[in-house]
Amino acid sequence: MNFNKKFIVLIICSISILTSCEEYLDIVPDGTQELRLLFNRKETAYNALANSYSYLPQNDGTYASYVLMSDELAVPVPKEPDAIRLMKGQQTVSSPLMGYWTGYGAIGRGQGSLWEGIRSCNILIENIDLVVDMNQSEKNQWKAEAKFLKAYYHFLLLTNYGPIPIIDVNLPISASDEQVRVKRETVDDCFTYIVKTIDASINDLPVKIIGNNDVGRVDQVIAKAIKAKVLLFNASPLFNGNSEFYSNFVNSNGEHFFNQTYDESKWDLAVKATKEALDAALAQGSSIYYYTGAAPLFDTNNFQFKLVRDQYNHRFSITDPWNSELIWGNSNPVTNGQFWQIQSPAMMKNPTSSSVEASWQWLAPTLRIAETYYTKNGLPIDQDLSFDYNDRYGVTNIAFNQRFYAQFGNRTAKLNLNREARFYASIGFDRGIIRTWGSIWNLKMRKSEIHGRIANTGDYLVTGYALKKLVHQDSEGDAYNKAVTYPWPMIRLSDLYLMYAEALNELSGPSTEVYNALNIIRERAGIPTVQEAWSNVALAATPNKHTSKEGLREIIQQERMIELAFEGHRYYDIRRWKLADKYFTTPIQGWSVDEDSEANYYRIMSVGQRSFSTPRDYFQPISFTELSRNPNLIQNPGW
Amino acid sequence: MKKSRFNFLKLLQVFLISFTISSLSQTVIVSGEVTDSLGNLLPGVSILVEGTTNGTTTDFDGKYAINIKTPNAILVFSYLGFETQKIKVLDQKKINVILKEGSDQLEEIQIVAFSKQKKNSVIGSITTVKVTDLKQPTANLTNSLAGQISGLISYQRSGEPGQDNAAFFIRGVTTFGFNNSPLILLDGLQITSDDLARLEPDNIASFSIMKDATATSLYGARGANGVVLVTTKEGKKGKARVSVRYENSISSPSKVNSFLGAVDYMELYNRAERSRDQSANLLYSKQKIEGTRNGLDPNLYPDINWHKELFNDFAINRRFNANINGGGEVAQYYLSVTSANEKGLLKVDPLNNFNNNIDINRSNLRANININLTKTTKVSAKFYSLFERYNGPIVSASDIFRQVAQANPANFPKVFETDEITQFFNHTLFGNKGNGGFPNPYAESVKGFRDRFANTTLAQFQVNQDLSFITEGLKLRAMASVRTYTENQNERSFTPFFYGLSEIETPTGIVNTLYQIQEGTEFLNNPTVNNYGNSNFYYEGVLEYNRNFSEKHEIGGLLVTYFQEALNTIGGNTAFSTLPSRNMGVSGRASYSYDSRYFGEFNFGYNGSEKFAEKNRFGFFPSIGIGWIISNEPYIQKNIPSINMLKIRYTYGLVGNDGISSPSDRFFYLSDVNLNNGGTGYTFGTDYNNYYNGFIINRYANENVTWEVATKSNIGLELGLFKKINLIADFFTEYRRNIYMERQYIPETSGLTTVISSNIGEVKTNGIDISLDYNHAFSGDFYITARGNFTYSTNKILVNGEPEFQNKNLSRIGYPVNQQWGYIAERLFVDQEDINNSPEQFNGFSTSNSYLPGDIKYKDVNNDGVINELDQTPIGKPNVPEIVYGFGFSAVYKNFDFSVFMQGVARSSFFINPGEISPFVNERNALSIIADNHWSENNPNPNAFWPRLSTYQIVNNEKPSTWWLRDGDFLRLKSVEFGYTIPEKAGKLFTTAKTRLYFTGLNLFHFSKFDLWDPEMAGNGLGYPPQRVVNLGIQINF
Repeated sequence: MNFNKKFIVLIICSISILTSCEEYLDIVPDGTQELRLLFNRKETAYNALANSYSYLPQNDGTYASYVLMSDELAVPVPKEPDAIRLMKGQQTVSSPLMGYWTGYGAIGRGQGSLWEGIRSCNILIENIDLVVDMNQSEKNQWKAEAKFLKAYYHFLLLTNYGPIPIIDVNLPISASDEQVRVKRETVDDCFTYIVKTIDASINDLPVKIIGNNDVGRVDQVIAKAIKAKVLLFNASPLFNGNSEFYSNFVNSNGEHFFNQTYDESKWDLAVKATKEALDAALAQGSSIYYYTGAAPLFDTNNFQFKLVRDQYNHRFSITDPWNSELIWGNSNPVTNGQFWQIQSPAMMKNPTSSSVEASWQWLAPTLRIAETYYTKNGLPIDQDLSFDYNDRYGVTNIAFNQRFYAQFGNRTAKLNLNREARFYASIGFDRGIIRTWGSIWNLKMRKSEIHGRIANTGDYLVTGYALKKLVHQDSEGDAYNKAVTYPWPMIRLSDLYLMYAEALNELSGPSTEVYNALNIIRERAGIPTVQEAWSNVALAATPNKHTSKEGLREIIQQERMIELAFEGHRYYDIRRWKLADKYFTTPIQGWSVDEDSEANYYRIMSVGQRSFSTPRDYFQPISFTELSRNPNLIQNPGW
Repeated sequence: MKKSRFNFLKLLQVFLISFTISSLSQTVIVSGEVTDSLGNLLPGVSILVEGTTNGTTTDFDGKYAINIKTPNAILVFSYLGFETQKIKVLDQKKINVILKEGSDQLEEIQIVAFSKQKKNSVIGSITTVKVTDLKQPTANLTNSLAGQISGLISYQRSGEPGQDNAAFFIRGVTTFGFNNSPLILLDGLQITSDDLARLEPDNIASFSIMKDATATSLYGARGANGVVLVTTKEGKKGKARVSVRYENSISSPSKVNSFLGAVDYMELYNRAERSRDQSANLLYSKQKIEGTRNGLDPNLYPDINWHKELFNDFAINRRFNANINGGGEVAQYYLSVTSANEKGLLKVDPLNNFNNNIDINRSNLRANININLTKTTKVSAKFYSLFERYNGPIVSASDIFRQVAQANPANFPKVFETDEITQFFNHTLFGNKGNGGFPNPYAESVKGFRDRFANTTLAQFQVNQDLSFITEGLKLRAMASVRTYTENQNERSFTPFFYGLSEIETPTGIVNTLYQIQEGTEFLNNPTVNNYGNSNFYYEGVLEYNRNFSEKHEIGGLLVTYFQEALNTIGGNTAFSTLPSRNMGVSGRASYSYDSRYFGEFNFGYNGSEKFAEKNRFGFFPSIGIGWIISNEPYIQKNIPSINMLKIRYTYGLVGNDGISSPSDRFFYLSDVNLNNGGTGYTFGTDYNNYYNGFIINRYANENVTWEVATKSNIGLELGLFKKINLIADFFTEYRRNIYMERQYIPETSGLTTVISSNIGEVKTNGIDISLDYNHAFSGDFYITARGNFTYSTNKILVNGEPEFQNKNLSRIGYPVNQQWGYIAERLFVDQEDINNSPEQFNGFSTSNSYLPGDIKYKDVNNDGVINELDQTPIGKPNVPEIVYGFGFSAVYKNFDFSVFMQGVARSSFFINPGEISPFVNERNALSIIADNHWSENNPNPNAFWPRLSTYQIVNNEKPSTWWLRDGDFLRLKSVEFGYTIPEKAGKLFTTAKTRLYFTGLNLFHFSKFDLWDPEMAGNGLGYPPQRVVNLGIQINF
């Protein structure tokens, strides 16, 4: 009997254990990794901040870069990064290339979806107040940075996709199906939101980032510069009264995604914002870059010549790290040990090296960009009466006074001679010279020559032009870690001046103020002022072109294409100006690099098509998958 | 327990009585033995002379002797669970009786969840299979399941020893969630399907599957996929009964793939090269082909049948089981020892002193001991240990089978004959050519071995307490179980030396010399060691109440509480996978029946699982059932006696499934975050060195995640006619909701770094399962039984969490869970014009995916002018069969018995994987069928089996499409058995052992529309085929 009672006790006990079952089933120890732990302390919160920054495009990574997404560069077919494939018309709706919307993989580091970037910013904004060891102003600063980045990511999406949904706050995980099916807003609403969000961030940002450790983070100068850029896009033809392309592009309520009437006051906003940005930058010590370093030994004697110094001024304005012209540099560059660093395929082979593969040298400027640069007189090659435009592909002897950019006594195409310093600072050509490997080297680029196509490999320059601009003069190509790392310029002072000139001309036509803004750039380039160049009836084929608004517009556009070449702006500018039909539809060309004789080498050949369908390709497609996930999204016209 | 006590007491009693009678009067003694239909001797069978009190029971050996006063006497043989038999004595002195397992006995007991019930009162849908039907000459119990059990969908894709588990699903696959397999319980403890596979049928007392809500809702959140309940044999009172079985079987592949010989291969290869490039250089010279044709130097002109080189024609397996069963008043025991040896088909290299063939030695020990502590208290302990020594090749034997398709017959021999230089080398000269890199399956097979020791231990302790002193019919049971599994595996291999043959021009002509392509090792490299282990703990307390009131009202109650824990003890490397899995709950049953005619039952499970947030941790799973035995109505009993059983039953209820994702993906209420993710970091600072990692969210916390819920309903009909025919039919529907799945329609704009999954999926299943039995005894020594069963289960997805496809053909909604998607192949392209006039396929115009006449033309399903992934559409049947059936019969005539069993599946499809069999790509082997039936310029058959030949991959032709879709239906002769029981000699009545010899054939042949390989392998056709087994066995009982 006693025995049995024990059993009754046992069963009662086991039932009573059920009441403590919560404990039995609660088996996860505290301290497993959870998001809230990120915001315990400042040191860990930095990961959230870094995460928000990490979605910034990596334009110095060859395979992820938008630099190749234009008609400025050509590569051998087997090397083609997605950007070039896209420009060749291989974009698809089923798996879009180079899409900021979904993010994209690439050799090296890919690009995360900017929507993820926006979510990351919002996570920081929502949670940063939880951190215990930060004071309020510091928290406000971080929040402002995240807000700015959020606005910037929206802007990048807007410029690539047109009207986009606005994600100002994160949807909870439990959001209903209807909630997550966000709709595209009109471009005006998007611009308004972006500007408003940048405005809301500016006051909490530091005026200027100082201190070696924080450079690369957003400050007021950066925010104002980006805001100016946003408003410039807002006023540009693609977005301002674009009834030409988008009269039928409406949302479910029948409203136009793009405003249908041109509004000049948008240029006014752009002018004001650009002026404000310029003033802020200058007040914080920004200035147009001039090379102030000592001349390298091999150039000591040449430095007395202005043409040499002009080349240094332009080339180093990009590659001299953290120089005075840089407003926002990407402090997270592709590190110099990586082969996908954009300098790697652009560097020239060391002439003393025996190996064919000592450097890759396959990133080649196109003939078109070579022709875009001015003559030494600061005029387009077809506008300079002293330049033999019609026989520009003809070959001629290189004179003694051309020795600062070409090999005296040799022969090259006329096109390569008598050009402005920026041409020589940016582009290498057959029988030209290049400063690299601690010396000045003579470029010999015909088939089987030292810089030409030697073996039957894919490492060669398909156009016969080499890219100097993005390569630091001290970078060496026989080992990846010998490239000099520099912060990729996301926005620099020249850009601001050019934006200002463009906006002011659009608003009020030619004026001294417009000329002055351009002349600041031209002076550094070593060419005459706008007025001087274009008023000279002896030289200019269309004298005084600069005095009309339309004429000046073209001048400003070309100035922009030259000054900002290879920096990833062209894809955006050409579309912004609605000029893609002119630039992005025609085949790109180069010299006949598979020829070894001079006569045969200097013949123009096509090195790849470019394809652009108007208006379809003005914006990228939203992927098929995304459209099926969210039926509220309306596809861009033509896709 | 009740049963055995009854037997023992009765036995003693009857013995005394019968001896008394025989000493008093002059009568005839009739004697004999009583067995079941399979020849097992039955002790304790009660024998009564009809109309008298004169009776006896069989002894421990199933023998009896009884005094008869009149030849007209009729003997009545009755035994629990068997049909009662009446036999007129007449002048017979010896009457041997075979009792048939009955299904209509009121006393028959059915195992149900946590308990046993009288079979008639069971309302839930439970199928119990006779254990003898599971005895097949295979070392894997799961291989015997297909077609044996109504309600079970089962198929076996591989025959590799140790890897040959059949997949099985109760009532089909009813969810697309993570876990769709049934809960398997051995004596109440949850075990794995591997454990089940290794169980020895001789030790199994009962094998049941539980299908509907009433049968499974007590298992709460574990039971939605059905439950397999296995109990092991226990000791019975009596002197020791020994049963020994020994089997020796020969197994060989059910079908061997046929490949081309070297000459045909080379000729076709050359044609394939020219087929796509008119100017291609031919790989195989005329000289090589002719040399091979004429059988010249085998080093130079090899003609290798890789299958023959790699595999033996058959393997020999042995199994041995012995068990002892007996006991006294206080303690009863069941002890068993099993040993099995299973071998694979791989050949072993003569130079190796190790064995790379599969050689599995399993032995297990079982001890089940019951002790009656007091009249009301019983304790029992069960111990089981399985030891497995595995030896096998370093890559899986299935992969070696696949490699046969990788190497062609003409390139090189498996090993080169040694020459003067190499003859003293202590290594094998494995064949290769050129710069090497061509697969040599023989080298892969023999280059190393893997050995593994694994041990599974189960221990269980149970206390049963009768609480009748509190109130009659009350019982208490408590049980604690533990299962541990450990394995230790070593892989050892050497690096093979590969040689090639080179042609060197000498003044005397071309000389061929051996050269080394790859330097290998002559020693075994250091072993790769893998250890793994896990444990399960289980505790259960059961309070049970059963009582009859005034003969007609029968009331039953059951209350269960249990705790379960599973732990990875060795292995597992994430925070979550090393934490225990726990489950606990209370379950209960209340049943009522009136007059054995009307039945009602309520069951519930209330369980918690550690995986979910606190608010969702516990769930309640109720079910109800009602039943009506119409045949027990007096009217029917009186007027339609031929209907011995007519029962209808209906059940409805909920069951859960908490196995919604992998063990490492649990604790849904927590996020899974990497707070230091290098991939999303950023650098600040002038020197780019102020670096911070980012973070990444791998899973978002979701408090609302919970288990799947299945709403099951079942209508059952049981019909027994003439006491010979039994039909059980169940019609079921299941509505599975809360299936944890990805919400695929979350757009990118949400900015999530990973997918979100929630309980949104829904599937509706319905089907039918039927079993039909027929038993007939023509006389005392001829007995026949036939049976058949049929299971059909089909389902469709109601909610899939998919995006709103513009192309409806991509939507899975409305299609079965295992429906397959692919392209519709119309035919082969006739000519270039045909290609030009058809939509572009897979960017084939501009890229390397180009195609030619003779390649597959697909249908533009969405009519957008191009063929791409959007043109996929549901094709064929699901890859899990919707119908599984089996039928067979067995007959016993005197000492002979014979049985046949056929098994089949229907309504399933599979894809041939063209990428796996496409010949000539990388000089791959070629199936004979491709030589016989392919498109060519000379034979432009637009429906040829194989498209235009190629020596490289043709992307266009390797897409899953109707071209490669095949019907998976088959019907096979699963088993044939012929047995002979050695007759005993008179006079040795109580001492002889009963010996049965038998011959079994397994998988002897099959019928199928598909004849390339065994259709049961489906898309796995180049793997280790299922085995055809012939087996000789002997069983001795004494």
